[in-house]
Amino acid sequence: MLQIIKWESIKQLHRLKWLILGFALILLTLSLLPTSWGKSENYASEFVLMLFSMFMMLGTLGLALYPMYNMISDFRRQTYTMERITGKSHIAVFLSKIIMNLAVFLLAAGLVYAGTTLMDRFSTNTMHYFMFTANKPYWAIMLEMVLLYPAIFLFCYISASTNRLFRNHRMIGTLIGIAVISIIASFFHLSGTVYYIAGLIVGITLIITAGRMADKHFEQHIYNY
Amino acid sequence: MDDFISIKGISKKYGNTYIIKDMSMSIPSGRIIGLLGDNGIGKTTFLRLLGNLQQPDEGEIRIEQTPVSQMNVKDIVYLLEPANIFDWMKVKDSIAFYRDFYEDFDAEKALRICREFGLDSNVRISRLSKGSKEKVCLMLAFSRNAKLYLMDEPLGGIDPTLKKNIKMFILENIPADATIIMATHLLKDLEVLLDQIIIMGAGKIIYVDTDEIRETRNQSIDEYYSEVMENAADN
Repeated sequence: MLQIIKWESIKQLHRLKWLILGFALILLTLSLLPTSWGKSENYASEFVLMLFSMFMMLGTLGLALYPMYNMISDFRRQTYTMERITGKSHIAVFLSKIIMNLAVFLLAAGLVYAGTTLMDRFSTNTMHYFMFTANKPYWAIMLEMVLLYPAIFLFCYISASTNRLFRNHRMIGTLIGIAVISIIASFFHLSGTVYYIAGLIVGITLIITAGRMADKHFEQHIYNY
Repeated sequence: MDDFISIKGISKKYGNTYIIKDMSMSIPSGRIIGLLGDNGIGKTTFLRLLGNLQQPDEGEIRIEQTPVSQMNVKDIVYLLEPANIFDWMKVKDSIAFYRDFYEDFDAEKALRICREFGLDSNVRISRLSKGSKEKVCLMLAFSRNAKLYLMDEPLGGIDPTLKKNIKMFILENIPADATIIMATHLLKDLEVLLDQIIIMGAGKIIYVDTDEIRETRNQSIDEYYSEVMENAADN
């Protein structure tokens, strides 16, 4: 398991290194600029700050969506074989990916917090730059971004991949699956502790189910083109 | 010699089309076997079934009496294709990856083979030519110490010098009792290596000793294969 986590973390680093580097450079630049620089009614400084804001907005969106991509990324056909022939169980790989999702989430939270704080120094009465305000508790956001949404996405993807009808149109099948689960979820109005417990149970169950399905059926179907 | 691989009545179909139908054979250990046939005839599928990467719809494959479906895929060496390797890896990363996941992987041997092949272990895979990537795949496979090696077109982009020495390379780098099954179109380069051949797609599966072809029929493997396929087309 430790080896799987090690190689998963190396993979995440390779995928995210340019985004993290971009964030780091912007945050460093913002921390070095004097506060007056953004308030000097200088169009050039406004333009640069807008660019930085745009990068951070898109970067945050990318980091928010990344855990879902991360769960299905191994199933890209070309490199799948290299990982599969190691005999690793899919469940172990998926659980390692959840740990990576947590690391990415914490990293994103740190970057967003630093970005919001540093950008706020340059805001004026008429101009506000990058900021993030949560509309639900942080624990709920963490549960959803790290486990629940990635697990639903993965489960739908594996279900579509191993289904004769959708195996050549996996993303369409995945989106239909997500729509069905969203409709089912809309009938439940959970909150507080019940929401967290239900979210954990559903997330872990979907991960294990997807892992078992992938172990037994993924190769059987995916090469059937 | 005891059967190393026992194949009993396996069939595999994609949709309603049979790729492999009711195939049975016994393969002894310590042989190098060529898997021949036209493109799309099921050679890759057959290798995947042997490697437990796919399961047959019917029948059973056993290796040393154990059903393949109960074996771990890591016990069998499956030669990667160049596109299977993460291209962000350096050659030495691919060695580290194999070292971490396979107990039978010999990292020192891997570095030695790198030197023999003229591969710089610090070079990123994405910067290598197709032929060099194939050398990386061969290096990773032959640095393991296993009983079964499955290879799908192992020498497609390899340079002529290595092709010339490939017999020596293979014989030097696998255990004496190991079995190699390789799908190939490069009969002229490899036929001296082959102990047996399996021909798929001639209306039936033909499994024959190469000595029999050379001594009894007085033909090269290439000539025999062409004759079989021509006869199949005529029928």
